[in-house]
Amino acid sequence: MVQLPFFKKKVSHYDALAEKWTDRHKELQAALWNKHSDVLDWFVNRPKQWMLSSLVGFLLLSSSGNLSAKVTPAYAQEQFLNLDKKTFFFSDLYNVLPHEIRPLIPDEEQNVAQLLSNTYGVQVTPEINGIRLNRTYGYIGEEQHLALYPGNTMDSHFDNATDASSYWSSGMAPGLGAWGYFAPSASQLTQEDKLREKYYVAVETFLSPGYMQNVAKYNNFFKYRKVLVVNPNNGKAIIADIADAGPSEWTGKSFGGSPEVMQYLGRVDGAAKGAVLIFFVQDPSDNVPLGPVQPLQ
Amino acid sequence: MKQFYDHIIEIDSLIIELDQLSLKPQEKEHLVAIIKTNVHTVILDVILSELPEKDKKMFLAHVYHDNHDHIWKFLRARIDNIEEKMILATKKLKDEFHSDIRNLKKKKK
Repeated sequence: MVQLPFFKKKVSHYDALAEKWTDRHKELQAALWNKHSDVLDWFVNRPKQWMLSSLVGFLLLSSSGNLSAKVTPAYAQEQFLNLDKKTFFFSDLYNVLPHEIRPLIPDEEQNVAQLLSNTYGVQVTPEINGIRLNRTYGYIGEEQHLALYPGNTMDSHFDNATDASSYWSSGMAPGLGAWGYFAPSASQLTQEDKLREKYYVAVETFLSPGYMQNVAKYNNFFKYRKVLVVNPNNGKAIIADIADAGPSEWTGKSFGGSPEVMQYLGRVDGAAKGAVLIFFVQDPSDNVPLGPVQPLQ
Repeated sequence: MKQFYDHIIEIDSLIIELDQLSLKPQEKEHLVAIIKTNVHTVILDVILSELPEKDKKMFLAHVYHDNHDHIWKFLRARIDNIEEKMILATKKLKDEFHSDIRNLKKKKK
């Protein structure tokens, strides 16, 4: 411990240095922003999936302004640990993913599946019982809501005003999902049905290898099959279910996502189209809930 | 996390000096993190100051992708003696950190 001349209170080495060096960083950072505001503004205003996953973004933002005033050892440690974990994930992912968006080869799929399983604590695989999607890495586009039951319209689709205001504008698909209505009537609609529609994805079941020779078997397999969908640019991941077949090959997209899925993944830029990874969830006991999933701590 | 400049910007001498202060392990870890953050800011500043306007976005994109080989290839093709400039820019900062630590050690005595 040392005694500073103007204060009789003892200040620890740590407190003295942490305060001084944090102040120095504020000054450096202010100077950095003053000199390079154009490119830095561009950087932080990129789509969130680009910016939030970035170490540069973290360093530029997390220690700026009033945030640095509340930097405590525990807080900083937590931030850096989270950063490292996430950064390692991205680093690992970029090492195994090809630079272009294309179907993964078997070795790549296995590596990615292993990485995702370890990161999110959900066992995933590109293939179950010899059945696989035509691709596990491709573009996803936003779909519309699906009718839950006969007579379901946008006015009766949502449980609450928040969801209605957030997702009403996406509208409802003119046709039904691949498996028809989620429930035979409004009175028979369950919470599971609602979640299946809320977190649904469309995949090109018809392009799955072997589909045409085993249509009934494959449809049965795909029906509400749980998949892990990951945005590789921001690490956002969600457990979704297959509830529709599509999109058509000519669209250039391989998957479709419900408005809620797309919103969560951060795939809602102007084109509402971006690359995702999709793998089957190994969940024979039906224990894995649908919805967002976080990386293991 | 390893940074693309770790092999030329050492902070071990600062860590050794921190070891001579009365610090708990997590306190030392936090101070090292602050040092790294300061160094990173200085590195970004010197590089963005040297790069032509048209290349700045691409540089940030390269850092985002964290491919060290690509970053160095990119920088060396555009900035003369970039390594020396980075070392020089961070030397002043590191000297200040050393000075801060030594001042505390003196007060301790």
